[in-house]
Formats: sequence, structure tokens, C-alpha cells
Amino acid sequence: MNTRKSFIIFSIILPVMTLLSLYIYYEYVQTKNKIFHIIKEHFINEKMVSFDNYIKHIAQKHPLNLQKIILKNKTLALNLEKKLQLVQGKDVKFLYILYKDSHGSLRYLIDTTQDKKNKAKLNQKFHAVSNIWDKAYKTQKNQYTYQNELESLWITLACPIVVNNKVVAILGADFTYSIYNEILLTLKPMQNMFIYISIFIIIMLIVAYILVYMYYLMHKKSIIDPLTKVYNRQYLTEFLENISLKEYYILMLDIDHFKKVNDNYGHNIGDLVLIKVTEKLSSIVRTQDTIIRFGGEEFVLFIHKENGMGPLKVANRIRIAIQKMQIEMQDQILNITVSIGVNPLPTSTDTIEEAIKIADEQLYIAKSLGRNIVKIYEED
Amino acid sequence: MKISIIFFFLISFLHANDLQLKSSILYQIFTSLIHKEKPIIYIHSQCKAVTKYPEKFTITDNCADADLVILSTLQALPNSCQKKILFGTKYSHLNNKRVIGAFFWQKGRPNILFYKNRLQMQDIILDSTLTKYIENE
Repeated sequence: MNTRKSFIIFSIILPVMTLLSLYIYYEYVQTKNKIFHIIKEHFINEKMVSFDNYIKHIAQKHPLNLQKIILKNKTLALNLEKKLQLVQGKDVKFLYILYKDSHGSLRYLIDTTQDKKNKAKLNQKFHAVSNIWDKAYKTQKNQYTYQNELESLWITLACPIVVNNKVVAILGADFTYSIYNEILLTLKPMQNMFIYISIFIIIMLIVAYILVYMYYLMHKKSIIDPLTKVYNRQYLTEFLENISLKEYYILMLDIDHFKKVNDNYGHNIGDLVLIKVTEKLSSIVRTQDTIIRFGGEEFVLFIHKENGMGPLKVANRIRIAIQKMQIEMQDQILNITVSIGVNPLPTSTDTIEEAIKIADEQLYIAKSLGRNIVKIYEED
Repeated sequence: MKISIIFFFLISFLHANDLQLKSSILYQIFTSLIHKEKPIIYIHSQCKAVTKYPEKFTITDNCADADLVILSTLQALPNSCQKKILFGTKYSHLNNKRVIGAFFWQKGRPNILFYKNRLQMQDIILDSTLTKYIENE
């Protein structure tokens, strides 16, 4: 496959794979959040079930004036507190029962907290941060909220105690971040695995990008002549894969008396001549045309027929332009001529080698006829 | 309203700087209590929030010069403080009948509490912003 095509394909595949791996990571994050949500919901529902049992027990045993009974009977309050402690579990930091007084303020009836600093007194006012308590009173259904504003608390549950279709009290439960952290910890190995895989994929993709780019650079280096910066002979195969030969003329160009230039002036001047000739050729031909340095001082030009000028005209134009060119050396001017052989019908032969050979033969004829001449192949 | 706004910011920026916000809340309470822009306060025996972030408080070493006393403990209260306005930083400080109110954290939640009869005994009239925190003892 042609290098440019390979590079283009890689340029599409690699970003797609990068996007795919990012998408996979995104999907993982979504899945993790869903799992977390499910675990959390399950956990909350489980707790609510255990609280519901306690609430039903209270509602059945003390259906009337629960708050008055508790406020007057300290022994009962203590018993209920002990029973409530049994359903607390280690996940619940604070567990308490509240009621609404005649002014609509929430007050403590029972508080299972053992810590003196956090234990509320009987009938002490409760300062609500969220509106779940009012919601629980109104809807007579369990409510919960995330305590985003409070540092140490994660979720608060409000479970109404309903007697004869009336909310007589609310069971409140505060969960700390310990269970949240526990869930995260459980998911952590999975998360780490995905992170490692994603990093690995990204590294591999970066390496692939670098390798493709380096390959592209090396390939480019291998098909460009370092002196004249035009394509070299190695490029010819790749070039022919991408064109239709019937759209081109082939010109074979050779610098006249180049060996003498090297012998008389040195190889540095020889190189300068090659560079100047190539520059002149590049300025004359169009972008659709291709110059290939075929040998030491030999160039093959593929001239696109689109220009409509005709191969002879193009070749003569080149020859004259180079003839007029003056190459400045240290204290003198050097003039150079070229001989050109033209094959106007490259598809008349079976292979490209034969087509180039025809142009080369015409070049040979041009040389033997005195140089600085264009010779075109004519079919008999 | 001011206190509610302060409470909102206190809760919202809890992770940022608890002490600074606590000091700010106390400042708002005290200015509402004694109607003075630069209250002179005596700290018994320590209050990190006010010491580190004094706001516009003037902290005095002499209780007799203070407008108000912030309590961290009820023990060993100097005699010169006995007739001053006492304000607690724990719920348990309210056990002392002279303590007119307290600002404290309980169950991870901020609480402000004043007792009506105690305010009346000291002829203290609270700003309307604090009236919702007044309770009958």
C-alpha cells in the first residue's frame, strides 16, 4: 500500500481508537455511578424497612398521644430509646424521633446518641437544614436527602410515624460518609483496572502515532534526493501506482558536459549546478508535473498532458530556460545546457522501463547530434 | 435575614474555613445582641474562632470592660464576669441560668438558641433576625 494512503488510514484509525477508548472509560464511569446508585438505594431501602418495623411497633403499641406519653413517662422514653438503638446499626450515626410542637417547630422526643456533645435533651428544638421533615409530614411517606451542606453527614432519612392517618412523629436517621466510602472502596479495584487499561491504551496509541509519524518521515527521507530536494529514483514505483501513464509525456533530461564541470571546477560547483538546474526546472513545470532525479546528472520529467502545450514545446522551453540561466561562481559566470529526449506516447510500450528507455534513446540521439537539443520519439 | 444569609454561607463554605465563618456568625449575633458595631468581648477560657479571626471584635483581658462574655466552660468564671451578658458555645452552657443563649454544633448541624425569660431578665431585646431562635425555657 502507498505510504500516503497508509498514513491517511492511520490518521483516521488512531483518533477513532482514541475516541473509542475515551468512550469506553466514559461508559465505565456511568456504569460505576449506576452501580453506586443501586447500592445506595438498596442500602437506604434496607434501612427504611428496618425502621418501618420499629415505627409500626410504636404506632401499634402507643397509638394515641405518643409525644405526650414520652414527654411524661421517662421510663417509657428510655425503653423506646433502647429499642431504637437495636435497629441503629453501625452505619447510622444519629438516630432520633422528632415531633412538631404547636408552633410548628420540630423537637426531640428520643435520641439514641450516647455522645454527650451530640445528645439532645428531651423536647429540645431541632434545627432543620433541609425540608424533608415538612415533606414527610405532608406526604406521610419516607423521605431522604443528601446533606451536601453538612460536612460530616451524607444522607438523612425522615420516616413518618403515622397513626390513624396522622403523622404523630418522625424518625430521623443521619448516615455518615463511612458507608459511602465503603461503597467507593468496593468499586475502587474495578475503577483502578479501568484506569490502568485506559492509560495503557492511550500510551499505546501515542506510541502508534509516534511510530507512524516516524515511519512517514523516514519514508519521505528515502524518496527525496537530499541535494536537489526533488524526488529520487526510489519514488518512481510509488508515483506510478498513483497515476495513469497515458496522461503524461516522459522527458529524459541530461546536463551537457557535467563531468567536465566537476573536473574543472570541483564537485562543489557540480552540486551547485545540479541545484540550480533543479530550481529552474521546478520554476518552469507546474504542480501536476513531476521531476525525478534519475541518476547523477540525469532527470526524468513526467509532464501532464493537461497543459496542452505539446511535449516538444515544453521540452524546448525547458532547454532554452536552462541555456539562458547564468550560474554565478566566485569570479565567473557558468552557462549550462541540457539535452532532452521525449517519449510522447509512454503507453505504447508494455512497461514503464521500456517507456523510459525510449526517452533515454532519444536523449542519446540528442547528445550524438551535438547536445543542447530536444529529440522526440516518433512512431513509424 | 442577615443571620439566615450568614447561616447559608456558613453551611455552603464549611469546607473552606469553619473558624472564620464561626467568628463571623458570632459577630452577627453579638452585634444584634448589644447593638454595637465593635463589641468588646471577654473570652472564658478559649475561643479559637474569635482569637484567630477577631473580625471587628475588641478582645479584652478584663471582664469588667467587656460588653459580653463568650464561654467555652462554665468553670472558674471570674467574679467580674458574673454580671455580664454570658453567651455559650455548648448546649450544656445553658444549664447556667445566667447564660442567655448559645451557638453550638449538634449532630453535624449549627444551632442558635436564646431563652426568653433570661433575655427579659437582662433587658435584652434581640434583632428581629434572631427572634426565631428564642425559646421558652
